Amino acid sequence: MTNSEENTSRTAQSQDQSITSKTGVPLCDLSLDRVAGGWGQMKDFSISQQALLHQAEIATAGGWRQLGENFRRAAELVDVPDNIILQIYEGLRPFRATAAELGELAGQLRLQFHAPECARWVEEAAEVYVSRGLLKTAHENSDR
Amino acid sequence: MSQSRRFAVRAAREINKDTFVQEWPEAGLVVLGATADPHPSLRLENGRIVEMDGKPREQFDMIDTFIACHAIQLDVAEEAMAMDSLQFARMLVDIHVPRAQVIRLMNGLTAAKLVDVVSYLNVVEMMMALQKMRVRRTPANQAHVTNRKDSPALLAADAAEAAFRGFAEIETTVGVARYAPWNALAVLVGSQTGRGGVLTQCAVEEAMSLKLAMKGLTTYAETLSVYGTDPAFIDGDDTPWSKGFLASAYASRGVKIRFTSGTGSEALMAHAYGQSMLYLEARCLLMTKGAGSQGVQNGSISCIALPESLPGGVAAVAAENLLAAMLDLEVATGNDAMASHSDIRKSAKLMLQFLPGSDFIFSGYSSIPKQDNMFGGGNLDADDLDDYLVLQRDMKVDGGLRPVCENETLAVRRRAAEALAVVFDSFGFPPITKAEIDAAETAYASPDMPDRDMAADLAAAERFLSGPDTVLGAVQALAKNGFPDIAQNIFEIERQRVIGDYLQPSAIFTRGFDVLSGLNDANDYMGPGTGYRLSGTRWEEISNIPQAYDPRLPRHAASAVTLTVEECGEAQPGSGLEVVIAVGPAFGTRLQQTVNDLPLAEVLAQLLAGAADEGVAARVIKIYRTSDLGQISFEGSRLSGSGIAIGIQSKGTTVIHRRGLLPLNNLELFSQASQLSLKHYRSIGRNAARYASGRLVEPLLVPVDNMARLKYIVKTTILHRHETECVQSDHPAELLRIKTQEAISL
Repeated sequence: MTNSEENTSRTAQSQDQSITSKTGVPLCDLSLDRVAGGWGQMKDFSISQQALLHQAEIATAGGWRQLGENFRRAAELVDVPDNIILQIYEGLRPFRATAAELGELAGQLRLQFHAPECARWVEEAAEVYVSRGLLKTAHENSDR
Repeated sequence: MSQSRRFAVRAAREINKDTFVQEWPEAGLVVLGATADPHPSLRLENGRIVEMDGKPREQFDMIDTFIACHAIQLDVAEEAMAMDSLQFARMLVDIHVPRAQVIRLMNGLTAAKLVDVVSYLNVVEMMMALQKMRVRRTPANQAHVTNRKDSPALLAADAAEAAFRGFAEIETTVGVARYAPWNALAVLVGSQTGRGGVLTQCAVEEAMSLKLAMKGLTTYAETLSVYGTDPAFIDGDDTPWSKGFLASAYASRGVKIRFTSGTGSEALMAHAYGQSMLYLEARCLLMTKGAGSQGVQNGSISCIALPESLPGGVAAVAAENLLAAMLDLEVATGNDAMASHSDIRKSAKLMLQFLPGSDFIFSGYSSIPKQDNMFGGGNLDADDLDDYLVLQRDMKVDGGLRPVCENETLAVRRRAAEALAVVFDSFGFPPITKAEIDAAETAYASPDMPDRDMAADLAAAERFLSGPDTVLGAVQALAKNGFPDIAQNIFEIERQRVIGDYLQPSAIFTRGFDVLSGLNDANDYMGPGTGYRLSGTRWEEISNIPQAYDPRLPRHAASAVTLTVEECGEAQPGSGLEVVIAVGPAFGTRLQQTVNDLPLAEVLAQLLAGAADEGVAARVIKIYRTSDLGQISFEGSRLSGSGIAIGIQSKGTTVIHRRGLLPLNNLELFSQASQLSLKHYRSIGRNAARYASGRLVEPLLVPVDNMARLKYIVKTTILHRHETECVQSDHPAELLRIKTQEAISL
């Protein structure tokens, strides 16, 4: 497809065999034969915290500082269940949550999921939402 | 009512269906330099921003706060903000300043400063700058694949074709929202049939989009829209923090994302605050960067006709693409929504991204006919693919696509639909029938597809979304039912999530699932001889469009009548009333047809019959020493008893010449052979005879076609080359005897 395909030596891909999926399955144990045989769930094909931290380091070293920070927050979210993720996202949308509710979400992230950067993100949002009037007020319907 | 018919014709042209307005800065209808745009400034105290673009921190709105907290890199901000904007503008086009050096400083600029920098560039400089500043060295392209019926077989076939044609990413969406998981599945299976490693997404509501990714059905998302003013952002039902959180959420599931922004959206939402489109877009881009998105799709996107209604609008769109690249963001450079009624205007606009190249030249080329484009897009669509492929070949530009032939394409389309049918079967969905597969293979658009039971389909799609089945079930079904290669490709896509290399800036997969990104395919443009160069097998691929033929091979259809001639010795000067028909050296031997496929046997018969009509004898003489028409007829007239000769080249170009005229002068010249019919040749024969017998002659008028040269120049060149190859400079003119006359009915 591209010029670059002719030159495979340039592809500096992470073929580090120490990479495992979120469930701890080593990369080399992920095979089509196993899947064809009925093995595996999506979580076995989910990226691990470690892999995301590795990508964060690469991004930061490449000069993409904020992308690296994003990957670090992502690493914290690896073990946060899908429904909680969707719940936090919903809470961060305008007029969805009170300051207290955002505080609870931040607390949950920090304590239950050991996600301090994400917790800080939610707290920072809450501060801005207070000053910019973006919080849910008591009389507002929560499903605005 | 126009008085002038020319004005009336122009008024009816496509360009005048477009809307043009004067600037209205208060409403945000201005691309650059609104009076409400702030002047660049930045003040730091104790390691934090206390003033930005003229605004003290206590007056920061939501977006200012986000930008100040996350986007501007304080370690270079003071150094960068102190520099002259004009100097930055020059660095952007200076081939001696490496990209990395520019990027480092850009990390410290405010929105107003960024806009100030690009305001110094004209469009050519913007293109030079985009060529240098885009993240990935190798350009690529993204396709839209949707259809009005949400037909799964057609989605799979179309995704397969798009992948096969070289698109690196495919974006789909839905007609009916509940089809989302099916459409994502169809496009995934289809794309991996066409070419392993193509990234796919399904643009739907954020929460749904995230669910699709979590089921393994999509590999990227670009629906994360940001807006340049607080009220516009809030009308979009998000904040920079909610979008930023989404960015992290996607990454945590191994999904690539890019944000979306674009000039005009704030004015459209009536929330522009009297600020210019580019200034607001710069704010969007800083938020995109601050949130940690690796990239953005911009270039006005669905608002494109709004900046295009304004002076400088198209240049501003190029400027916003450039701003994204200056911020080290992957940029998918728009061209995805209808921008103009005028094909000239659409093509001209496209050049601003196509020529310099970008990470994705289109953030959605409608690879399906625009009637099926559910994004409301299709600025260029399936009908325009051959045009696009020719543009690549014309300009020697890599636009991300490759020419394909019909047979292979149909095979890929069919296979994708068959593979999806297997997957549907394994999930217990209402089946994809053979009739659907047949239709999907050759369809133009969704009306060609059989109708399905939508109620049953939607129920199944909803069960799939809420149930335990994932993409792994599809992999299993494909592997077990005769599609191991497609299973392998989808499996590999899922395995790549575990690695996450494709989360890095501007990442795409090559055919072999190698990642090309800003890390290992970094844009290293530093002037001529550097950066991405189209060469080798890729250039050959782009060059070899199927329409291009080998000019060395004969192409004329078998002639109805073949001219056979016998040479009867050296032609001698004639006497008395006669015309000579002097033919070129390949006439009736190597060449048998004129440029517009008239058999030379019939052409010659008509010339002879024309002379006979007037009672004048004619001799046919072949000239060997030249293929030049003037020389052929000159020599013919020298041998003609009457001094009148018709000179004719094998490609059909004809002249009537009289002895004594200079070779390049003539009585009548018929230079557009493509316009000549057999009737014309008969008249030429008659006129020559009348000249020979000294009668009055009305010159023959042949219609002129402005397109003739365009249509026939290549064929003319080839035929003339053959004729010239038959020249023998020492071979005297030969008298010919025609042996095929009896076969021709006059």
